[in-house]
Amino acid sequence: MTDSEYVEGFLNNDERIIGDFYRKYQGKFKGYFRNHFSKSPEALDDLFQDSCVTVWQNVRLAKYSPSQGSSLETYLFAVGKYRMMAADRKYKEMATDLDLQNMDLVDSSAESVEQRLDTIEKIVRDFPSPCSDILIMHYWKEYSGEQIAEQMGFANTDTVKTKKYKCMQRLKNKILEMFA
Amino acid sequence: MEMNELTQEELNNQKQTDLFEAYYSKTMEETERLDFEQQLQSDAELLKQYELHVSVMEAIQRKGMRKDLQKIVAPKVISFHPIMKYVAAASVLLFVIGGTGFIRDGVVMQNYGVEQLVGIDVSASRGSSYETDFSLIHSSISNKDFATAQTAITELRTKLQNDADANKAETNEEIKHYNTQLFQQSTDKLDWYQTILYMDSKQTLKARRWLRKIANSESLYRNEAEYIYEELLW
Repeated sequence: MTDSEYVEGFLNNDERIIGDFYRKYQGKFKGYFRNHFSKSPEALDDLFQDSCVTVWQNVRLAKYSPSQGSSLETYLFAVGKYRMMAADRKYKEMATDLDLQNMDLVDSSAESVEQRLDTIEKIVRDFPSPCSDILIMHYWKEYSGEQIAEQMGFANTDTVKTKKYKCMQRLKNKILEMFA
Repeated sequence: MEMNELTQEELNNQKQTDLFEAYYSKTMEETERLDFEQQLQSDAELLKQYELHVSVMEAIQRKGMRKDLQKIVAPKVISFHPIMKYVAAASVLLFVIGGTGFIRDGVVMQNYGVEQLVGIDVSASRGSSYETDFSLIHSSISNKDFATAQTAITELRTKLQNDADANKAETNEEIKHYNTQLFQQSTDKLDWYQTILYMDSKQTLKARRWLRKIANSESLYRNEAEYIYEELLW
């Protein structure tokens, strides 16, 4: 499958193409990071999944396109290195990696921004159901109010709006507490 | 006011969130968009709130994507459908007549075997005594010395079993737990090397059995095994 086909698949959330992308690069990606950074199998699983998700999202947000000059594979590896650097300060020297700079994945003057985003990521990951489910249905699945009400057993769409607002506020307050 | 209703302040905040989301998704009218952009440029607090909202939205999207990705790539149980025994019989017949199917599979498997060997990490974790054994297995398969590799695999399997048996008598729980994990990971890796050896040496039937066994297990290499097995089925 070509990069353009993968990009199309990401834009359409095509499960078959996304699965193919995952399986195609899994061995090589994990092999590279295992050999260069001695990470455990569990850490490699997480790193690879997170990197695939980032690539998928960045394609959808038009932060990556094939016309930028780098292949999807190169981009995937660059994202992996960036995540390594963000997660572990001892890999900070990767900030000089040309791949990361050319793809706008690192700005050494914005360390505090990266740390903030990392904190937000952790809090969102740990945010429990049912609030997490409501927010995912709205912001990722893009379900309508009626669909969310049906899934969650709410009385009507007004209840959905209220719950969604309160869940989002709870999440933001948790984040702001960490930054205070 | 009912518990599910918003206060006036909350309603105002909700309106602001709606504005943020309309701007982010580029669904605002042009004049409204320009006006909002000017507000973001001149009001640092508003900009901060907007950036926080966007960061949180995108993190939520990633959480949803991660859940979906895990479902997409979760290993499926591959069962040996009863019809396959007839397929297997037909394949044997084909092999007797021409055998080109098996020869093709052998070449394909050999390619997969070589590819997987490149990606595998030779070193075991935390200075285990198995590193030397794995290095020997890895280099033997790389050099196509399958006899030496098979001997080394068999010997390491025996060593792992003996060490696992000895570990049962370990009294320190932390050490016992660590050892158990090490044996499991080493066994997963050894099974994978065995599979690679079969693929590389074109022992296709054995390779298929091992691929199916690993794909249906909790092995570290189940995803790789499942992928190759599904590719070869058709």
